Amino acid sequence: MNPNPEPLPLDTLQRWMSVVIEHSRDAAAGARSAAGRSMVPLARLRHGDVVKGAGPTEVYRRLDVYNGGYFARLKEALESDFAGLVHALGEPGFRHLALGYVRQHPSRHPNLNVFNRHLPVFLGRQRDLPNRAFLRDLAELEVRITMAFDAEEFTPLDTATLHGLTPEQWQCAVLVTNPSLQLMVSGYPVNAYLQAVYDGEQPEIPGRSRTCVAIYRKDDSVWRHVMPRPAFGVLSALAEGQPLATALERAKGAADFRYWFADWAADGLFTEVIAPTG
Amino acid sequence: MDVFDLARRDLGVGIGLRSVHFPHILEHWPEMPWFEVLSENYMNTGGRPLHVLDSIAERYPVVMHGVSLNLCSTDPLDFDYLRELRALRDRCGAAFVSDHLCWTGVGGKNLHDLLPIPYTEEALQHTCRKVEQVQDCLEAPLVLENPSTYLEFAGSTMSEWDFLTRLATQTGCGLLLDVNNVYVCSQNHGFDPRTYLEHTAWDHVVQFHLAGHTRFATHLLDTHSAPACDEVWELFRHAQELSGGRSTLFEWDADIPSFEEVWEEARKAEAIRGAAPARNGVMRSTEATE
Repeated sequence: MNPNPEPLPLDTLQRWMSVVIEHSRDAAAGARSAAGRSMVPLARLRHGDVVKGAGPTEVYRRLDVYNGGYFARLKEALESDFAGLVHALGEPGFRHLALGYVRQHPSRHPNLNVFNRHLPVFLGRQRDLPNRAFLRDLAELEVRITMAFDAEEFTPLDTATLHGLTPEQWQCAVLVTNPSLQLMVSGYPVNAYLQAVYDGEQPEIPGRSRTCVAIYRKDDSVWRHVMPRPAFGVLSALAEGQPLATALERAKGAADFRYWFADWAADGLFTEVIAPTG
Repeated sequence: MDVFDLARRDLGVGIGLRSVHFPHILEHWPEMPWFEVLSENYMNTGGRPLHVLDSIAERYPVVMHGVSLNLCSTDPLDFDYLRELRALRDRCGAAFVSDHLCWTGVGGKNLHDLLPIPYTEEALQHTCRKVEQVQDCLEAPLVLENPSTYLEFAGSTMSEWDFLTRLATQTGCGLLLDVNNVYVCSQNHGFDPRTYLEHTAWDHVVQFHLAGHTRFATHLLDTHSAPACDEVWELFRHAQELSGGRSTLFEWDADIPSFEEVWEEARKAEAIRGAAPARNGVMRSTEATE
């Protein structure tokens, strides 16, 4: 060990350590990688010129505390967001998926609550994965639950405001949906599957069945509702900013659409009504 | 309010606010001197955590403790993060904002770990500049915690305690002395933890942290998953004597037991605080200057 090693510039040291920590095998593999060696020659590391240690074994053992913690931490964050996916894939399958995801989509945000966002797309690209389409939709549902949970604050529209609209105003009114509302169409009954997992059951991967789900926050809890297609169509149109009359064209003649609005308003799905005055 | 005012404001013994304890707290509103909240748990969200924090901040003093400032990174500071941090501070009326002497990522990535820095002149001046930027943004002193570390850099030219003392003196920042981290580092790197305490800039110490760790064959890991060990309590007793008393916080972040069990563990600090005679510290030194 050199008693007075020339310190590496801080930036080089941090970039090297980042490579070592992120390596999916271990710190030694990271240090031996081309990126690692381009910043810190292995001889310097072996001589204890970078990290203090009695020899390479100790140096790598100390670096492995950080290398091991990195993946464990991110995998734990994903597990807490994807209970359904963990069940569907099993622990080894989820671990494999998480390892690939962490490698391809490292966190770039100060907050881990957005780390999950790319997982559905990543899953959709895993061509060898059985039940890939179902798993992608299940992941999408679980991401949307976290998005509804973390959506910005809002104040639900007072339902009295709706009652005060004239029939003419109703025609042109635009109902602004609350920012937590997520609308999702899946080719599979993903919501029923997820609920079964939450209930401690052991559901099998289901067959295809088109499902429309609305996910939203009410009174600080996240709610999920499987909706009939006409109602889902109207709500989707409203969420897109369509005027009420246009949105109602998607009701396809359903007689009970008035009840939908009453339920949606009671659930706080609207924050504002924009209607012509007079 | 400068750092000496913060140090003088001894909030007593508190615990870290954790979501598993929300139901208990919201039902019983236990008598608590204060809570420390993890800043990032209430950022980038507009739902339940924030509303619980609002309710708690109405009834208890709170301080904010973060893990993502990425202070020592060679990446520039994330000013969006800082603006949110300040907004949260203003919303909950936190007495102060703390984070760690560490970096968490470089090149735009976030490794979500408290990574060590070399204790060099370059790192010191770099960190001083960053602290000043943060303090300008917060318009308040930043409080920095000594981290648990598992390696030391061969290029370091000063001890961690000297680095922190110079940092605090140069920038006017506060220090959050994590007694468990001092002990963990002393075991991992082979120094006398009492030496660390005896060279600490006590005038700048605003708060203590206490926690448990996990002992592995080759090292101690700062897991916050257990009661504090006897050696940490003994070290805290010494820190108490040297400081004259500071706001003290018990952290429990993994395998979290009931609220009552965490609070029971934290209250061991009260007995020590009550028993330890003050030999030195900001309570005396700053009063002497007034």
